[in-house]
Amino acid sequence: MTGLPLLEVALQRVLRGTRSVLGQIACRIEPGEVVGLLGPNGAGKSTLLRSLCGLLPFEGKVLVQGKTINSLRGRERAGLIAYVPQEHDVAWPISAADLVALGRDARRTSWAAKLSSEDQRAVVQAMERMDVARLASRPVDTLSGGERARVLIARALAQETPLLLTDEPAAGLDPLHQVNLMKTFRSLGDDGRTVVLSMHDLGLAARWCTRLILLNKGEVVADGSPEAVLRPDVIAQVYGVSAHIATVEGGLVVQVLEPTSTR
Amino acid sequence: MNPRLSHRLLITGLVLLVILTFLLSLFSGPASFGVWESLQALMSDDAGSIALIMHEIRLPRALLGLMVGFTLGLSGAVLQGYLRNPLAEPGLIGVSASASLGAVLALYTGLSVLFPLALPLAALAAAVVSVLVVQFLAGASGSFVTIILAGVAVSTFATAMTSLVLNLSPNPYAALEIMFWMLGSLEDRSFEHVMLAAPAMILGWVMLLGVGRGLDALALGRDTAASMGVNLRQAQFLAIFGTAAAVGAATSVTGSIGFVGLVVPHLLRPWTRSLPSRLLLASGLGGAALILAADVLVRLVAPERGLKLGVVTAVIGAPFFLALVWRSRRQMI
Repeated sequence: MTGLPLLEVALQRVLRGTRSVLGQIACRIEPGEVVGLLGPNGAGKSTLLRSLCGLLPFEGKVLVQGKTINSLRGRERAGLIAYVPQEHDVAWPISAADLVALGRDARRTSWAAKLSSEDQRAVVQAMERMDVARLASRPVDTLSGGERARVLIARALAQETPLLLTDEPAAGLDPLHQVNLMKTFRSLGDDGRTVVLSMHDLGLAARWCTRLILLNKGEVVADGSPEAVLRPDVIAQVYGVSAHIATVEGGLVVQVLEPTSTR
Repeated sequence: MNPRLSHRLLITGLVLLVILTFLLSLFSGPASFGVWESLQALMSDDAGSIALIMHEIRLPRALLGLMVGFTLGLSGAVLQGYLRNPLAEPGLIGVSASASLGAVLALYTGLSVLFPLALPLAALAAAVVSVLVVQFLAGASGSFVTIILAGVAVSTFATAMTSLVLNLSPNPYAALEIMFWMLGSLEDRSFEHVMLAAPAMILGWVMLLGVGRGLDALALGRDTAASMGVNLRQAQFLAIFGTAAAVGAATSVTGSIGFVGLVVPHLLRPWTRSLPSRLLLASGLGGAALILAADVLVRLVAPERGLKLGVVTAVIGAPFFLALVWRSRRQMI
Protein backbone atom coordinates (compact mmCIF):
# COMPACT_ATOMS: atom_id res chain seq x y z
CA MET A 1 0.00 0.00 0.00
CA THR A 2 1.41 3.37 -0.95
CA GLY A 3 -0.27 5.44 1.71
CA LEU A 4 -3.40 5.80 -0.39
CA PRO A 5 -6.58 6.07 1.67
CA LEU A 6 -8.78 3.02 1.34
CA LEU A 7 -11.79 5.10 0.50
CA GLU A 8 -11.90 8.67 -0.71
CA VAL A 9 -15.34 10.19 -1.02
CA ALA A 10 -16.20 13.48 -2.71
CA LEU A 11 -19.88 13.28 -3.46
CA GLN A 12 -21.61 16.31 -4.93
CA ARG A 13 -25.13 15.01 -4.87
CA VAL A 14 -27.14 11.79 -5.02
CA LEU A 15 -30.56 11.93 -6.62
CA ARG A 16 -33.37 9.43 -6.21
CA GLY A 17 -35.72 10.38 -8.99
CA THR A 18 -35.70 14.16 -8.83
CA ARG A 19 -35.28 14.33 -5.06
CA SER A 20 -31.83 15.06 -3.72
CA VAL A 21 -31.14 12.49 -0.98
CA LEU A 22 -27.52 13.29 -0.26
CA GLY A 23 -25.72 16.59 -0.56
CA GLN A 24 -21.99 17.27 -0.57
CA ILE A 25 -20.09 14.67 1.36
CA ALA A 26 -16.33 14.55 1.56
CA CYS A 27 -14.29 12.19 3.67
CA ARG A 28 -11.32 9.87 3.64
CA ILE A 29 -11.47 6.52 5.31
CA GLU A 30 -8.23 4.73 6.15
CA PRO A 31 -7.49 1.02 6.44
CA GLY A 32 -8.34 -0.37 9.88
CA GLU A 33 -11.16 2.06 10.69
CA VAL A 34 -14.55 0.89 11.97
CA VAL A 35 -16.82 3.72 10.92
CA GLY A 36 -20.35 4.04 12.29
CA LEU A 37 -22.80 5.96 10.12
CA LEU A 38 -25.35 7.58 12.37
CA GLY A 39 -28.41 9.69 11.71
CA PRO A 40 -32.19 9.69 12.03
CA ASN A 41 -34.40 7.68 9.64
CA GLY A 42 -34.17 9.11 6.15
CA ALA A 43 -30.87 10.88 6.84
CA GLY A 44 -29.26 9.17 3.86
CA LYS A 45 -27.23 6.42 5.54
CA SER A 46 -28.37 3.61 3.24
CA THR A 47 -28.06 5.83 0.18
CA LEU A 48 -24.49 6.70 1.17
CA LEU A 49 -23.59 3.03 1.68
CA ARG A 50 -25.08 2.07 -1.68
CA SER A 51 -23.28 4.94 -3.39
CA LEU A 52 -19.97 3.87 -1.84
CA CYS A 53 -20.55 0.42 -3.31
CA GLY A 54 -21.32 1.87 -6.74
CA LEU A 55 -24.91 0.60 -6.68
CA LEU A 56 -26.45 4.02 -7.22
CA PRO A 57 -25.67 6.70 -9.77
CA PHE A 58 -24.20 9.78 -8.09
CA GLU A 59 -22.56 13.09 -8.95
CA GLY A 60 -19.04 13.31 -7.63
CA LYS A 61 -16.28 10.86 -6.98
CA VAL A 62 -15.74 7.72 -4.94
CA LEU A 63 -12.23 6.25 -5.00
CA VAL A 64 -11.43 2.82 -3.60
CA GLN A 65 -7.69 2.25 -3.23
CA GLY A 66 -7.26 5.12 -5.67
CA LYS A 67 -9.57 3.73 -8.36
CA THR A 68 -12.94 5.28 -9.21
CA ILE A 69 -15.69 2.92 -8.17
CA ASN A 70 -17.52 3.16 -11.48
CA SER A 71 -14.46 2.21 -13.50
CA LEU A 72 -14.15 -1.10 -11.65
CA ARG A 73 -15.53 -4.20 -13.27
CA GLY A 74 -17.99 -6.24 -11.23
CA ARG A 75 -15.53 -8.92 -10.20
CA GLU A 76 -12.80 -6.45 -9.41
CA ARG A 77 -15.16 -4.49 -7.19
CA ALA A 78 -16.36 -7.66 -5.50
CA GLY A 79 -12.75 -8.32 -4.56
CA LEU A 80 -12.53 -4.93 -2.84
CA ILE A 81 -15.97 -4.36 -1.33
CA ALA A 82 -18.49 -6.64 0.33
CA TYR A 83 -21.96 -5.26 0.99
CA VAL A 84 -24.85 -6.40 3.17
CA PRO A 85 -28.13 -4.52 2.68
CA GLN A 86 -30.71 -3.83 5.32
CA GLU A 87 -33.23 -6.24 3.81
CA HIS A 88 -32.59 -9.84 4.71
CA ASP A 89 -34.82 -11.63 2.25
CA VAL A 90 -33.41 -14.71 0.57
CA ALA A 91 -35.45 -16.03 -2.33
CA TRP A 92 -34.90 -19.78 -1.87
CA PRO A 93 -34.46 -22.08 1.13
CA ILE A 94 -30.69 -22.32 0.67
CA SER A 95 -28.76 -23.81 3.60
CA ALA A 96 -26.73 -21.45 5.77
CA ALA A 97 -23.46 -23.11 4.71
CA ASP A 98 -24.28 -22.85 0.99
CA LEU A 99 -25.30 -19.24 1.45
CA VAL A 100 -22.05 -18.27 3.19
CA ALA A 101 -20.12 -20.11 0.47
CA LEU A 102 -21.72 -17.78 -2.09
CA GLY A 103 -19.43 -15.13 -0.67
CA ARG A 104 -16.56 -17.05 -2.25
CA ASP A 105 -18.24 -17.14 -5.64
CA ALA A 106 -17.63 -13.43 -5.95
CA ARG A 107 -13.91 -14.14 -5.80
CA ARG A 108 -13.75 -17.22 -7.96
CA THR A 109 -12.69 -16.76 -11.53
CA SER A 110 -13.33 -20.23 -12.86
CA TRP A 111 -16.56 -22.16 -13.20
CA ALA A 112 -15.14 -24.98 -11.10
CA ALA A 113 -17.91 -26.15 -8.83
CA LYS A 114 -15.58 -27.09 -6.05
CA LEU A 115 -14.58 -24.84 -3.19
CA SER A 116 -10.81 -24.71 -2.77
CA SER A 117 -9.39 -25.43 0.68
CA GLU A 118 -8.77 -21.68 0.94
CA ASP A 119 -12.47 -21.07 0.19
CA GLN A 120 -13.47 -23.64 2.76
CA ARG A 121 -11.26 -22.06 5.39
CA ALA A 122 -12.80 -18.64 4.72
CA VAL A 123 -16.33 -20.04 4.93
CA VAL A 124 -15.67 -21.87 8.20
CA GLN A 125 -13.93 -18.87 9.72
CA ALA A 126 -16.72 -16.50 8.71
CA MET A 127 -19.36 -18.83 10.15
CA GLU A 128 -17.47 -19.19 13.40
CA ARG A 129 -17.02 -15.45 13.70
CA MET A 130 -20.77 -14.94 13.37
CA ASP A 131 -21.52 -17.93 15.60
CA VAL A 132 -23.60 -19.66 12.92
CA ALA A 133 -21.49 -22.82 12.45
CA ARG A 134 -24.10 -24.93 14.22
CA LEU A 135 -26.78 -23.63 11.83
CA ALA A 136 -24.78 -24.75 8.78
CA SER A 137 -27.24 -27.29 7.43
CA ARG A 138 -30.41 -25.32 8.25
CA PRO A 139 -32.30 -23.75 5.33
CA VAL A 140 -32.28 -19.99 5.85
CA ASP A 141 -36.07 -19.76 5.80
CA THR A 142 -36.16 -21.79 9.04
CA LEU A 143 -33.82 -19.39 10.86
CA SER A 144 -34.92 -16.58 13.15
CA GLY A 145 -34.48 -13.01 11.93
CA GLY A 146 -31.33 -12.47 13.95
CA GLU A 147 -29.82 -15.78 12.95
CA ARG A 148 -30.46 -15.03 9.31
CA ALA A 149 -28.89 -11.59 9.69
CA ARG A 150 -25.76 -13.23 11.10
CA VAL A 151 -25.62 -15.75 8.26
CA LEU A 152 -25.82 -12.91 5.73
CA ILE A 153 -23.02 -11.03 7.45
CA ALA A 154 -20.97 -14.23 7.48
CA ARG A 155 -21.55 -14.39 3.72
CA ALA A 156 -19.97 -10.96 3.34
CA LEU A 157 -17.11 -11.81 5.72
CA ALA A 158 -16.33 -14.89 3.61
CA GLN A 159 -15.77 -12.55 0.67
CA GLU A 160 -12.68 -11.31 2.62
CA THR A 161 -12.55 -7.84 1.14
CA PRO A 162 -10.51 -4.86 2.37
CA LEU A 163 -13.79 -2.95 2.76
CA LEU A 164 -17.05 -4.16 4.29
CA LEU A 165 -20.19 -2.03 3.99
CA THR A 166 -23.14 -3.14 6.05
CA ASP A 167 -26.52 -1.53 6.56
CA GLU A 168 -27.77 -1.83 10.14
CA PRO A 169 -26.04 -5.13 10.86
CA ALA A 170 -26.78 -4.91 14.59
CA ALA A 171 -30.54 -4.50 14.20
CA GLY A 172 -32.39 -7.61 15.35
CA LEU A 173 -29.40 -9.19 17.11
CA ASP A 174 -29.48 -10.11 20.79
CA PRO A 175 -27.04 -8.25 23.11
CA LEU A 176 -24.44 -11.02 23.06
CA HIS A 177 -24.40 -11.19 19.28
CA GLN A 178 -24.42 -7.40 18.97
CA VAL A 179 -21.26 -7.21 21.03
CA ASN A 180 -19.87 -10.21 19.20
CA LEU A 181 -20.53 -8.47 15.88
CA MET A 182 -18.83 -5.26 16.93
CA LYS A 183 -15.83 -7.16 18.32
CA THR A 184 -15.56 -9.00 15.01
CA PHE A 185 -15.56 -5.69 13.17
CA ARG A 186 -12.87 -4.38 15.47
CA SER A 187 -10.73 -7.44 14.90
CA LEU A 188 -11.13 -6.95 11.14
CA GLY A 189 -9.92 -3.41 11.77
CA ASP A 190 -6.91 -4.78 13.64
CA ASP A 191 -6.11 -6.81 10.51
CA GLY A 192 -6.11 -3.61 8.48
CA ARG A 193 -9.54 -4.16 6.98
CA THR A 194 -12.18 -1.45 7.08
CA VAL A 195 -15.83 -1.60 8.08
CA VAL A 196 -18.47 1.04 7.44
CA LEU A 197 -21.78 0.29 9.12
CA SER A 198 -24.95 2.24 9.59
CA MET A 199 -26.57 1.97 12.99
CA HIS A 200 -29.08 3.46 15.40
CA ASP A 201 -27.73 2.12 18.70
CA LEU A 202 -25.74 5.06 20.03
CA GLY A 203 -24.42 2.96 22.91
CA LEU A 204 -22.89 0.38 20.60
CA ALA A 205 -21.57 3.12 18.34
CA ALA A 206 -19.94 4.89 21.27
CA ARG A 207 -18.35 1.76 22.65
CA TRP A 208 -17.08 0.01 19.53
CA CYS A 209 -16.64 2.31 16.53
CA THR A 210 -13.29 3.99 16.01
CA ARG A 211 -14.98 6.81 14.15
CA LEU A 212 -18.51 8.11 13.72
CA ILE A 213 -20.06 10.06 10.87
CA LEU A 214 -23.35 11.68 11.79
CA LEU A 215 -25.70 12.45 8.93
CA ASN A 216 -28.81 14.57 8.94
CA LYS A 217 -30.98 15.39 5.93
CA GLY A 218 -28.27 14.27 3.54
CA GLU A 219 -25.49 16.35 5.09
CA VAL A 220 -22.60 15.44 7.38
CA VAL A 221 -23.26 17.07 10.75
CA ALA A 222 -20.29 15.66 12.60
CA ASP A 223 -17.36 13.42 11.76
CA GLY A 224 -14.77 12.23 14.24
CA SER A 225 -14.12 10.10 17.28
CA PRO A 226 -17.13 8.92 19.29
CA GLU A 227 -16.24 11.41 22.02
CA ALA A 228 -16.23 14.26 19.53
CA VAL A 229 -19.45 13.31 17.76
CA LEU A 230 -21.68 12.07 20.58
CA ARG A 231 -22.28 15.23 22.58
CA PRO A 232 -25.61 16.02 24.22
CA ASP A 233 -26.13 19.19 22.17
CA VAL A 234 -25.41 17.41 18.88
CA ILE A 235 -27.70 14.49 19.75
CA ALA A 236 -30.47 16.88 20.75
CA GLN A 237 -30.09 18.89 17.57
CA VAL A 238 -30.04 15.89 15.20
CA TYR A 239 -32.23 13.28 16.88
CA GLY A 240 -34.43 15.57 19.01
CA VAL A 241 -33.74 13.62 22.21
CA SER A 242 -31.82 14.45 25.32
CA ALA A 243 -29.06 12.06 26.32
CA HIS A 244 -26.89 11.24 29.27
CA ILE A 245 -23.27 10.62 28.40
CA ALA A 246 -20.68 9.20 30.76
CA THR A 247 -17.31 7.53 30.70
CA VAL A 248 -17.12 4.16 32.38
CA GLU A 249 -14.04 1.95 32.54
CA GLY A 250 -12.41 3.99 29.80
CA GLY A 251 -15.41 3.59 27.46
CA LEU A 252 -18.13 5.98 26.46
CA VAL A 253 -21.69 5.23 27.57
CA VAL A 254 -24.69 6.92 25.97
CA GLN A 255 -28.19 6.68 27.36
CA VAL A 256 -30.99 8.35 25.44
CA LEU A 257 -33.52 10.00 27.78
CA GLU A 258 -36.46 12.13 26.59
CA PRO A 259 -37.63 13.86 23.44
CA THR A 260 -36.57 17.49 23.55
CA SER A 261 -39.24 20.07 22.93
CA THR A 262 -36.88 22.45 21.15
CA ARG A 263 -36.66 20.51 17.89
CA MET B 1 -24.16 -37.49 1.30
CA ASN B 2 -21.36 -35.63 -0.43
CA PRO B 3 -23.14 -32.72 -2.13
CA ARG B 4 -21.21 -32.97 -5.40
CA LEU B 5 -21.84 -36.69 -5.59
CA SER B 6 -25.54 -36.24 -4.98
CA HIS B 7 -25.70 -33.62 -7.71
CA ARG B 8 -24.02 -36.01 -10.14
CA LEU B 9 -26.40 -38.77 -9.12
CA LEU B 10 -29.35 -36.50 -9.77
CA ILE B 11 -28.11 -35.54 -13.22
CA THR B 12 -27.27 -39.15 -14.07
CA GLY B 13 -30.69 -40.30 -12.91
CA LEU B 14 -32.40 -37.65 -14.99
CA VAL B 15 -30.35 -38.50 -18.08
CA LEU B 16 -31.39 -42.14 -17.69
CA LEU B 17 -35.00 -41.06 -17.31
CA VAL B 18 -34.78 -38.98 -20.48
CA ILE B 19 -33.27 -41.93 -22.39
CA LEU B 20 -36.01 -44.21 -21.10
CA THR B 21 -38.85 -41.86 -22.01
CA PHE B 22 -37.21 -41.15 -25.37
CA LEU B 23 -37.18 -44.86 -26.19
CA LEU B 24 -40.75 -45.26 -24.97
CA SER B 25 -41.75 -42.41 -27.23
CA LEU B 26 -40.06 -44.13 -30.18
CA PHE B 27 -41.94 -47.35 -29.49
CA SER B 28 -45.42 -45.95 -29.09
CA GLY B 29 -47.81 -45.06 -31.81
CA PRO B 30 -50.82 -46.35 -33.72
CA ALA B 31 -48.73 -48.71 -35.85
CA SER B 32 -47.50 -51.34 -33.44
CA PHE B 33 -44.32 -53.19 -34.07
CA GLY B 34 -41.88 -54.84 -31.71
CA VAL B 35 -39.07 -53.07 -29.96
CA TRP B 36 -36.45 -55.04 -31.86
CA GLU B 37 -38.07 -54.42 -35.25
CA SER B 38 -38.30 -50.73 -34.51
CA LEU B 39 -34.69 -50.44 -33.48
CA GLN B 40 -33.54 -52.38 -36.53
CA ALA B 41 -35.61 -50.18 -38.77
CA LEU B 42 -34.24 -47.08 -37.12
CA MET B 43 -30.67 -48.19 -37.77
CA SER B 44 -31.21 -49.44 -41.30
CA ASP B 45 -31.24 -47.45 -44.51
CA ASP B 46 -33.91 -49.44 -46.34
CA ALA B 47 -37.18 -47.80 -47.24
CA GLY B 48 -39.58 -50.28 -45.66
CA SER B 49 -42.74 -48.97 -44.06
CA ILE B 50 -41.43 -49.54 -40.55
CA ALA B 51 -38.25 -47.67 -41.32
CA LEU B 52 -40.27 -44.88 -42.89
CA ILE B 53 -42.47 -44.52 -39.84
CA MET B 54 -39.50 -44.59 -37.50
CA HIS B 55 -37.45 -42.07 -39.47
CA GLU B 56 -40.13 -39.71 -40.66
CA ILE B 57 -42.66 -39.74 -37.84
CA ARG B 58 -41.45 -41.12 -34.56
CA LEU B 59 -37.84 -39.97 -34.47
CA PRO B 60 -38.61 -36.30 -35.20
CA ARG B 61 -41.51 -36.43 -32.78
CA ALA B 62 -39.35 -37.82 -29.98
CA LEU B 63 -36.48 -35.44 -30.77
CA LEU B 64 -38.79 -32.47 -30.78
CA GLY B 65 -40.34 -33.60 -27.49
CA LEU B 66 -36.87 -33.82 -25.98
CA MET B 67 -35.85 -30.39 -27.25
CA VAL B 68 -39.07 -28.63 -26.34
CA GLY B 69 -39.12 -30.22 -22.89
CA PHE B 70 -35.51 -29.23 -22.24
CA THR B 71 -36.30 -25.69 -23.37
CA LEU B 72 -39.33 -25.34 -21.13
CA GLY B 73 -37.68 -26.84 -18.06
CA LEU B 74 -34.51 -24.82 -18.49
CA SER B 75 -36.21 -21.49 -19.18
CA GLY B 76 -38.60 -22.01 -16.28
CA ALA B 77 -35.67 -22.59 -13.93
CA VAL B 78 -33.80 -19.55 -15.23
CA LEU B 79 -36.83 -17.25 -15.03
CA GLN B 80 -37.74 -18.39 -11.52
CA GLY B 81 -34.16 -17.81 -10.45
CA TYR B 82 -33.78 -14.50 -12.24
CA LEU B 83 -37.13 -13.08 -11.15
CA ARG B 84 -36.73 -14.58 -7.66
CA ASN B 85 -40.29 -15.73 -8.04
CA PRO B 86 -41.52 -19.31 -7.78
CA LEU B 87 -44.47 -18.51 -10.05
CA ALA B 88 -42.35 -17.40 -12.99
CA GLU B 89 -42.44 -19.45 -16.19
CA PRO B 90 -41.92 -18.74 -19.89
CA GLY B 91 -45.61 -17.96 -20.31
CA LEU B 92 -45.41 -15.25 -17.68
CA ILE B 93 -43.20 -12.91 -19.69
CA GLY B 94 -45.44 -13.27 -22.72
CA VAL B 95 -43.11 -15.31 -24.93
CA SER B 96 -45.36 -18.33 -25.52
CA ALA B 97 -48.50 -16.31 -26.17
CA SER B 98 -46.71 -13.96 -28.55
CA ALA B 99 -45.05 -16.78 -30.46
CA SER B 100 -48.47 -18.40 -30.87
CA LEU B 101 -49.83 -15.11 -32.17
CA GLY B 102 -46.98 -14.85 -34.68
CA ALA B 103 -47.63 -18.38 -35.91
CA VAL B 104 -51.36 -17.81 -36.23
CA LEU B 105 -50.79 -14.55 -38.09
CA ALA B 106 -48.47 -16.30 -40.56
CA LEU B 107 -51.11 -18.98 -41.10
CA TYR B 108 -54.00 -16.65 -41.68
CA THR B 109 -52.29 -14.05 -43.79
CA GLY B 110 -51.33 -16.91 -46.08
CA LEU B 111 -47.65 -16.10 -45.68
CA SER B 112 -46.93 -19.63 -44.59
CA VAL B 113 -48.28 -20.95 -47.87
CA LEU B 114 -46.11 -18.64 -49.94
CA PHE B 115 -43.04 -19.46 -47.98
CA PRO B 116 -42.99 -22.34 -45.48
CA LEU B 117 -40.32 -20.82 -43.25
CA ALA B 118 -42.63 -17.89 -42.60
CA LEU B 119 -44.54 -19.60 -39.81
CA PRO B 120 -41.66 -20.37 -37.44
CA LEU B 121 -39.94 -17.11 -38.33
CA ALA B 122 -43.09 -15.14 -37.58
CA ALA B 123 -43.46 -16.98 -34.27
CA LEU B 124 -39.86 -16.26 -33.35
CA ALA B 125 -40.14 -12.63 -34.45
CA ALA B 126 -43.28 -12.18 -32.35
CA ALA B 127 -41.51 -13.72 -29.35
CA VAL B 128 -38.62 -11.30 -29.78
CA VAL B 129 -40.98 -8.33 -30.21
CA SER B 130 -42.80 -9.32 -27.02
CA VAL B 131 -39.61 -9.39 -24.95
CA LEU B 132 -38.46 -6.13 -26.53
CA VAL B 133 -41.70 -4.59 -25.30
CA VAL B 134 -41.19 -6.14 -21.86
CA GLN B 135 -37.56 -4.99 -21.80
CA PHE B 136 -38.57 -1.48 -22.89
CA LEU B 137 -41.31 -1.23 -20.27
CA ALA B 138 -39.16 -2.61 -17.48
CA GLY B 139 -35.85 -0.92 -18.35
CA ALA B 140 -32.49 -2.56 -18.96
CA SER B 141 -32.11 -3.54 -15.33
CA GLY B 142 -35.75 -3.38 -14.42
CA SER B 143 -37.26 -4.37 -11.12
CA PHE B 144 -38.73 -7.84 -10.97
CA VAL B 145 -42.26 -6.64 -10.41
CA THR B 146 -42.24 -4.42 -13.51
CA ILE B 147 -40.92 -7.27 -15.64
CA ILE B 148 -43.69 -9.56 -14.42
CA LEU B 149 -46.41 -6.92 -14.85
CA ALA B 150 -45.18 -6.04 -18.33
CA GLY B 151 -45.05 -9.74 -19.19
CA VAL B 152 -48.58 -10.39 -18.00
CA ALA B 153 -49.85 -7.41 -20.02
CA VAL B 154 -48.07 -8.56 -23.19
CA SER B 155 -49.21 -12.14 -22.66
CA THR B 156 -52.85 -11.21 -22.17
CA PHE B 157 -52.79 -8.94 -25.20
CA ALA B 158 -51.20 -11.60 -27.42
CA THR B 159 -53.71 -14.24 -26.31
CA ALA B 160 -56.59 -11.90 -27.05
CA MET B 161 -55.15 -11.04 -30.48
CA THR B 162 -54.71 -14.73 -31.30
CA SER B 163 -58.35 -15.35 -30.49
CA LEU B 164 -59.36 -12.32 -32.54
CA VAL B 165 -57.42 -13.48 -35.61
CA LEU B 166 -59.00 -16.90 -35.34
CA ASN B 167 -62.47 -15.42 -34.78
CA LEU B 168 -62.16 -13.34 -37.92
CA SER B 169 -60.82 -16.20 -39.96
CA PRO B 170 -63.20 -17.70 -42.52
CA ASN B 171 -61.47 -21.06 -42.14
CA PRO B 172 -63.75 -23.70 -40.56
CA TYR B 173 -60.71 -25.42 -39.13
CA ALA B 174 -59.86 -22.36 -37.06
CA ALA B 175 -61.05 -24.00 -33.86
CA LEU B 176 -58.62 -26.87 -34.38
CA GLU B 177 -55.84 -24.38 -34.99
CA ILE B 178 -56.75 -22.58 -31.78
CA MET B 179 -56.41 -25.86 -29.92
CA PHE B 180 -53.05 -26.53 -31.50
CA TRP B 181 -51.52 -23.15 -30.66
CA MET B 182 -53.08 -22.81 -27.24
CA LEU B 183 -52.50 -26.34 -25.96
CA GLY B 184 -49.55 -27.52 -28.00
CA SER B 185 -48.92 -30.83 -29.70
CA LEU B 186 -46.13 -32.90 -31.17
CA GLU B 187 -48.38 -34.58 -33.73
CA ASP B 188 -47.32 -34.73 -37.36
CA ARG B 189 -44.03 -32.96 -36.84
CA SER B 190 -41.23 -33.73 -39.25
CA PHE B 191 -37.48 -33.32 -39.39
CA GLU B 192 -38.06 -30.00 -41.09
CA HIS B 193 -39.63 -28.77 -37.89
CA VAL B 194 -36.70 -30.09 -35.89
CA MET B 195 -34.21 -28.32 -38.12
CA LEU B 196 -36.24 -25.12 -38.11
CA ALA B 197 -36.40 -24.92 -34.37
CA ALA B 198 -32.93 -26.24 -33.52
CA PRO B 199 -30.70 -23.21 -34.24
CA ALA B 200 -32.70 -20.66 -32.22
CA MET B 201 -33.36 -23.19 -29.49
CA ILE B 202 -29.70 -24.07 -29.08
CA LEU B 203 -28.76 -20.39 -29.09
CA GLY B 204 -31.38 -19.88 -26.37
CA TRP B 205 -29.99 -22.79 -24.31
CA VAL B 206 -26.49 -21.34 -24.47
CA MET B 207 -27.76 -17.94 -23.32
CA LEU B 208 -29.90 -19.42 -20.54
CA LEU B 209 -27.13 -21.66 -19.23
CA GLY B 210 -24.86 -18.61 -19.35
CA VAL B 211 -26.84 -16.89 -16.59
CA GLY B 212 -25.68 -19.72 -14.31
CA ARG B 213 -23.95 -18.65 -11.13
CA GLY B 214 -25.38 -15.15 -11.22
CA LEU B 215 -28.73 -16.66 -10.21
CA ASP B 216 -27.31 -17.89 -6.89
CA ALA B 217 -26.18 -14.39 -5.96
CA LEU B 218 -29.53 -13.00 -7.11
CA ALA B 219 -31.22 -15.13 -4.45
CA LEU B 220 -29.84 -12.52 -2.02
CA GLY B 221 -31.40 -9.61 -3.91
CA ARG B 222 -30.32 -7.31 -6.69
CA ASP B 223 -28.04 -5.05 -4.67
CA THR B 224 -26.17 -7.89 -3.04
CA ALA B 225 -25.83 -9.67 -6.38
CA ALA B 226 -24.46 -6.53 -8.00
CA SER B 227 -22.02 -6.08 -5.12
CA MET B 228 -20.89 -9.68 -5.68
CA GLY B 229 -19.91 -8.87 -9.24
CA VAL B 230 -23.04 -10.02 -11.08
CA ASN B 231 -23.74 -7.90 -14.15
CA LEU B 232 -27.48 -7.40 -13.76
CA ARG B 233 -28.02 -5.97 -17.25
CA GLN B 234 -26.25 -8.91 -18.82
CA ALA B 235 -28.14 -11.39 -16.65
CA GLN B 236 -31.47 -9.84 -17.62
CA PHE B 237 -30.50 -9.81 -21.29
CA LEU B 238 -29.48 -13.48 -21.23
CA ALA B 239 -32.51 -14.61 -19.23
CA ILE B 240 -35.11 -12.75 -21.26
CA PHE B 241 -33.70 -13.01 -24.76
CA GLY B 242 -32.54 -16.58 -24.14
CA THR B 243 -36.12 -17.44 -23.19
CA ALA B 244 -37.43 -15.62 -26.26
CA ALA B 245 -35.12 -17.55 -28.59
CA ALA B 246 -35.60 -21.00 -27.07
CA VAL B 247 -39.27 -20.84 -26.13
CA GLY B 248 -40.14 -18.81 -29.22
CA ALA B 249 -38.58 -21.52 -31.38
CA ALA B 250 -40.26 -24.28 -29.39
CA THR B 251 -43.67 -22.62 -29.62
CA SER B 252 -43.19 -21.97 -33.32
CA VAL B 253 -43.21 -25.70 -34.02
CA THR B 254 -45.31 -27.21 -31.25
CA GLY B 255 -47.65 -24.49 -30.02
CA SER B 256 -47.53 -23.29 -26.44
CA ILE B 257 -47.23 -26.10 -23.93
CA GLY B 258 -48.02 -24.84 -20.47
CA PHE B 259 -47.17 -25.94 -16.96
CA VAL B 260 -43.85 -27.70 -17.67
CA GLY B 261 -41.79 -24.55 -17.14
CA LEU B 262 -43.61 -23.88 -13.88
CA VAL B 263 -43.77 -27.34 -12.36
CA VAL B 264 -40.49 -29.01 -13.23
CA PRO B 265 -38.23 -26.50 -11.44
CA HIS B 266 -40.41 -26.89 -8.34
CA LEU B 267 -40.28 -30.66 -8.43
CA LEU B 268 -36.49 -30.72 -8.70
CA ARG B 269 -35.55 -27.78 -6.48
CA PRO B 270 -35.41 -29.84 -3.24
CA TRP B 271 -32.81 -32.10 -4.87
CA THR B 272 -30.55 -29.22 -5.85
CA ARG B 273 -30.14 -27.78 -2.35
CA SER B 274 -32.28 -24.92 -3.66
CA LEU B 275 -29.29 -23.38 -5.45
CA PRO B 276 -30.70 -21.89 -8.66
CA SER B 277 -27.53 -22.53 -10.67
CA ARG B 278 -27.71 -26.25 -9.91
CA LEU B 279 -31.30 -26.39 -10.99
CA LEU B 280 -30.77 -25.36 -14.62
CA LEU B 281 -29.50 -28.56 -16.21
CA ALA B 282 -31.61 -30.74 -13.91
CA SER B 283 -34.76 -28.83 -14.76
CA GLY B 284 -34.03 -29.01 -18.50
CA LEU B 285 -33.64 -32.78 -18.31
CA GLY B 286 -36.72 -33.10 -16.10
CA GLY B 287 -38.73 -31.05 -18.59
CA ALA B 288 -37.59 -33.29 -21.44
CA ALA B 289 -38.59 -36.43 -19.53
CA LEU B 290 -41.98 -34.95 -18.62
CA ILE B 291 -42.82 -33.91 -22.19
CA LEU B 292 -41.69 -37.26 -23.60
CA ALA B 293 -43.73 -39.16 -21.02
CA ALA B 294 -46.77 -36.97 -21.59
CA ASP B 295 -46.45 -37.49 -25.34
CA VAL B 296 -46.40 -41.25 -24.82
CA LEU B 297 -49.57 -40.94 -22.76
CA VAL B 298 -51.23 -38.86 -25.45
CA ARG B 299 -50.79 -41.78 -27.82
CA LEU B 300 -51.66 -44.50 -25.31
CA VAL B 301 -54.79 -43.07 -23.72
CA ALA B 302 -56.81 -41.78 -26.62
CA PRO B 303 -54.87 -42.21 -29.82
CA GLU B 304 -57.79 -41.49 -32.14
CA ARG B 305 -59.03 -38.39 -30.28
CA GLY B 306 -55.97 -36.23 -30.92
CA LEU B 307 -55.52 -35.49 -27.22
CA LYS B 308 -53.44 -32.33 -26.82
CA LEU B 309 -50.06 -32.49 -25.16
CA GLY B 310 -50.62 -29.37 -23.08
CA VAL B 311 -53.67 -30.96 -21.50
CA VAL B 312 -51.70 -34.03 -20.51
CA THR B 313 -48.74 -32.09 -19.09
CA ALA B 314 -51.19 -30.16 -16.95
CA VAL B 315 -52.97 -33.34 -15.88
CA ILE B 316 -49.68 -34.98 -14.90
CA GLY B 317 -48.14 -31.85 -13.46
CA ALA B 318 -51.02 -30.50 -11.42
CA PRO B 319 -51.28 -33.34 -8.87
CA PHE B 320 -47.51 -33.19 -8.26
CA PHE B 321 -47.78 -29.46 -7.83
CA LEU B 322 -50.70 -29.76 -5.44
CA ALA B 323 -48.81 -32.31 -3.36
CA LEU B 324 -45.88 -29.93 -3.25
CA VAL B 325 -48.06 -27.04 -2.12
CA TRP B 326 -49.67 -29.29 0.49
CA ARG B 327 -46.27 -30.32 1.84
CA SER B 328 -44.92 -26.79 2.01
CA ARG B 329 -48.08 -25.65 3.78
CA ARG B 330 -47.63 -28.36 6.39
CA GLN B 331 -44.04 -27.23 6.89
CA MET B 332 -45.13 -23.67 7.54
CA ILE B 333 -47.56 -24.56 10.30
